[in-house]
Amino acid sequence: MGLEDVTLREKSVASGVRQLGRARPQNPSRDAVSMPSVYRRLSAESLRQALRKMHLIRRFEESAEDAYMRGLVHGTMHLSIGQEASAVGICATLEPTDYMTSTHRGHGHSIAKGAQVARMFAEFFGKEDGYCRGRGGSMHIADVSTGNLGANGIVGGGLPIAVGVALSMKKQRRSCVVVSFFGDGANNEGAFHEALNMASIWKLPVVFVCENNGYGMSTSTERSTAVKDVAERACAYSMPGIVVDGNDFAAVAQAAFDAVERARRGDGPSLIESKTYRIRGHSRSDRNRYRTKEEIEAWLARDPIVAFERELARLGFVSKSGIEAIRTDVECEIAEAIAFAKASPAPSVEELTRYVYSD
Amino acid sequence: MSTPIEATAILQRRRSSVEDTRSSGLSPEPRELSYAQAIQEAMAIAMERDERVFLMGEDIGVYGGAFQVTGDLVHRFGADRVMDTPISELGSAGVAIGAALTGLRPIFEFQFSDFSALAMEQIVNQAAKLRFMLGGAVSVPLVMRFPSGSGTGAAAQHSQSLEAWFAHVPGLKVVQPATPHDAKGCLLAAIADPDPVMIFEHKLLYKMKGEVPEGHYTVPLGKARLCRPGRDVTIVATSIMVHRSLAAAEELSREGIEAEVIDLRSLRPLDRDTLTQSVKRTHRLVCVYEGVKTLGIGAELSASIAESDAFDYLDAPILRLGGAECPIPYNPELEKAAVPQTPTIIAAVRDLIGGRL
Amino acid sequence: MATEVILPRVDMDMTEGRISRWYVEEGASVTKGQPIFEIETEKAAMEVEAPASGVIRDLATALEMKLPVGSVIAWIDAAGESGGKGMRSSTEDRAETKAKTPTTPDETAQYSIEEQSAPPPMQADHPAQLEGDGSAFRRATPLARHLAREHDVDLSSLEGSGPKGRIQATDVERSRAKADAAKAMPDRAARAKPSGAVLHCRWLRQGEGVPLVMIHGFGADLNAWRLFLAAARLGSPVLGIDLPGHGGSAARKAPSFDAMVAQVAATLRAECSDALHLAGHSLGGAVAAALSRHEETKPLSLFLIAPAGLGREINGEFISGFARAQSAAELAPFLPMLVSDPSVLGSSFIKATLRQRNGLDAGLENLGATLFPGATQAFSIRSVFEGLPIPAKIVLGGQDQIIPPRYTSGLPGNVAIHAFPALGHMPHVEAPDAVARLLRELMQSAAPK
Ligand SMILES: Cc1ncc(C[n+]2csc(CCOP(=O)(O)OP(=O)(O)O)c2C)c(N)n1
Ligand SMILES: [Mg+2]
Repeated sequence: MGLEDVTLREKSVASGVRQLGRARPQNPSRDAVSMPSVYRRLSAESLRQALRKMHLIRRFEESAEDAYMRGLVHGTMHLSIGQEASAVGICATLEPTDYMTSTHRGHGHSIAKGAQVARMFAEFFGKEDGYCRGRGGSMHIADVSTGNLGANGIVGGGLPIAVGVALSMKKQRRSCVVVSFFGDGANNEGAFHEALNMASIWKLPVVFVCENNGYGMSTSTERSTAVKDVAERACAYSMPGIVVDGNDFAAVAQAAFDAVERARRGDGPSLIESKTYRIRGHSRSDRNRYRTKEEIEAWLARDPIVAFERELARLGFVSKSGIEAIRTDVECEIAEAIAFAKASPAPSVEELTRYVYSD
Repeated sequence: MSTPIEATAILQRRRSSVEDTRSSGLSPEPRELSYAQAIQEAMAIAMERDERVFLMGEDIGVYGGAFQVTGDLVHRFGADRVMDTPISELGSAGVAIGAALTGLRPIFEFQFSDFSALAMEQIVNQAAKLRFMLGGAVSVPLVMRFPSGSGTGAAAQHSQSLEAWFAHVPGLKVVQPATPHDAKGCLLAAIADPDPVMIFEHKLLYKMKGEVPEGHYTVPLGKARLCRPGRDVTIVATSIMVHRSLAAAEELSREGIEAEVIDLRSLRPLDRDTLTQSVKRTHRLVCVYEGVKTLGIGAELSASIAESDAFDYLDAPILRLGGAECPIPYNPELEKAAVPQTPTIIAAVRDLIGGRL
Repeated sequence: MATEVILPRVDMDMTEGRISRWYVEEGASVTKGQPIFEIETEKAAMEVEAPASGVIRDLATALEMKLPVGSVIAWIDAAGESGGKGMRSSTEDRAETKAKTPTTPDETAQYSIEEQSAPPPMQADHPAQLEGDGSAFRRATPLARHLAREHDVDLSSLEGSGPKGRIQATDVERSRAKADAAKAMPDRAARAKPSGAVLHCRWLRQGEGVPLVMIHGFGADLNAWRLFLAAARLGSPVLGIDLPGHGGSAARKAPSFDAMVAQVAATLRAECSDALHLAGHSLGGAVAAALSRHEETKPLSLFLIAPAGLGREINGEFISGFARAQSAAELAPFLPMLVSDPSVLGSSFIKATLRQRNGLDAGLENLGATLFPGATQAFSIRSVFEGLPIPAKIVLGGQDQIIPPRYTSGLPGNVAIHAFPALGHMPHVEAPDAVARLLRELMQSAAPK
């Protein structure tokens, strides 16, 4: 991919932005073309695992929603239904030792990076077996064992931290890469700009992944952001800025491979803008006043899981029965996870102030 | 198309609301509004009366605000006066300050008080100090609203009670209305005030209903409210803790303990007088607040009494019931345990009166 | 070192005697040789001198009771020492530094004979006392300390009922009530003291005979009488009462005139023998007058100094300004209204006036507004005098600027009016001797046969 890559990178420097993926989000139709290179770079097993993870995310989100409605979950939650390809496509290119920071809409990122749904459900239910021992809940799930440094309740909160982790890797001469997920809304926080600048001047191994789902809560990017594509911001910090179809696994993974390799080579950060859509409301209290039914339905037709299944089946990586097996397997895992979470003990009130400081 | 119909509806609504405001003095009929509605009404009245008033915040337009406080105001006043900002707390807070500095009267909503941390620079270093630094040449008539507090399962970064931070900064005024009546009156007073006023609104209060007079009225900033007289102990509380303290007082009264409950309402300016007078009557003081106990408002209240004339009237140690020394946890039981609840207050007062403390 | 005070044998064949009166109060500092109590034997009354200097404690409270010669009736603690030996009801109360407290027989052995002869020591870690530089510190609330200061109660003589032995306001009040009861008339000592709504009162003078009850004026307290009493040379015991909302008598809200009268009546019922003389100044004069017709009080005589309640007007400017004043400076403009020569009031009067108003719950201003709304007197005592069965005198100053002196005209002829043309609202302060003579005459004329 070397030559092709160089050309693309040069182009990106010239225009600031390059496009990956064969379809713009606005145009869901897709022609059969030759097999994208990621299908060669990832093993058949990895691809099937990627599909499984996308299913697992989807079912996790749906079950979390269900549990919420049954009153098992306290507080609110931000579901990533519709954004599965973005999370899995990025994380498919990472090593377990690579790091990740995530957002309030982070369930998918956690699962994609390798978290166990049982412990995630336990966290949702506020239990001691949860990833945060019931202290953090939906918005703070982290799994340090898989390099997942956690979701974040603060928009843009993870970006500078990711840069710091990258600095740490570089100083320690560890070859790990750091991926920082954030939403389109975060690109207007000062933290975003400050983080990108520092990552660039110090040539740090960070991949900034903006999951642009069109809205920061209710405010569309058109109303909130001066540039058309968030990726254009990369230009200001002298790093590649790439727009990809976030609902297309291969497109996301392709961009991620490039950025991760560049980072690992020591050439510095990249900004990937993954254009996608959240099907559910922003949170449980969203009344969808700011968008139309038609818009939601158009995106429903572009379901990333359906598309990925179709592609894998077309390319012969998975059979119809194979897909069925993945679905039932995921169903099983979810059911067991919920049972585990329900049975897990609640934290003791006696330990209220534990973990505030390192003992 | 739907636009003309909508436009008519908006026009009608606007007309009727104007009438509402006008007829205020004439109809003393008691009327209940929720805390959120009371705030919304205050903003509407202020915008009707004064063209300079406008709203800024994240998702306060068509979304109506994260807690539906601005609600439909965007339809009444248009997107120019109910401005959705990008998610840029530092910048937009600064923009509000600049507008206030030069003739406008912005009301700025933080989506959650926690996010004010991002805007601290502009609030603390700029808004609070500009007038002073410029030797009185300018003023910053800015109102900021902060949905605060725990109890919603929103965990550590969406549940804090940070009012004491702001109250520590000379140049800012900090109020915490506890009732719909005060929410409206304090907001209208804040809008009329020439200096930056920070209003902390407990999220659990938004749905609380209470009597709210119609029309324009103000509640003086810096004046505490005696909500319940009692001879045995003074409970001074802020925000939602006022209601928990009143519930506790009710229960204690059945045991023969008469607690006096004071709603502090304002942290800065601080009404030390009302508190001192009360402590002189009751000889005991319990401070109840949701912010973290250590170095919180209770410390200031206790110290005020210790320094005052009321010191010689104390017949028991001063007690502070504040938030636990930890971030707000997610688990509901832990979350409840992290801040004072009615039974906590009852137990503490019993111990105090019973001479166990 | 504590020295015991015993009931000495003062007569060859004396085996027992009784204390007829104490010259000192609990906790007072005494010097060796100073007369501290009076003893009565079959044959004579004798003064007994202090055997040592220091603070006197644990006074035997029962007067008139026969005690065997040699009984310990008090202790004198040398300066710097606190806590006594002997007549304690509870060893808990002993305040010694923890370090000194013997905890093992060995340690005990090192103690002096005196120490060993003391009653059993308190448990080693008695918490009522903090360790420190060796000086005894009593744990007490600020209010308890405040009250103790105000009423000359020695904290170290008290037992704290609060946690860790902390002395609370109730402890001070209880002890004060006890002391008052003990010091008052002998027959009163035995009388049960009802709890609750009685007013704060204090025996300003011990003595023989029918007690005189004195009621102060608006904004003052029972201490206001001390100056007068010092000059008055009365033989009878004198009880001062703090009106509600004044001095040590709390009032949750401003009481009405009738409520005041009722509370004073209740207090007298609890504190005093049936026979008594009544005297009052200004507002207190009105209260005294009303009491003379109260069904439960049967005074033998009525002595009113510049009484309120005889007419409608009162100096409103004075009432509100005097009530509002919080400092000597604020008080100053109002003093010339009280007396023709403000210097007679002295700084102690001003200090006492200001200090006592710290204790007001209801607020003097509120009280003023209730009793004297819009510069009028909201109550009347004129009906009291018609057919009054006891002798009554009214003393007033012709220059009174607070209450017009003309109001005494038209009162029935059985009331003696003594008008001092040159004096103001406080004749008893400006001419104590003359006023005291009138009082003594009145009381003598009304003395029981
Ligand atoms: C600093 C800060 N400001 C505001 C919020 C409230 N908030 C939470 S999510 C959100 C929208 C974020 O939009 P985006 O970054 O596009 O992420 P998305 O929700 O679309 O995934 C907002 C305003 C916050 N959590 N943190
Ligand atoms: Mg978004």
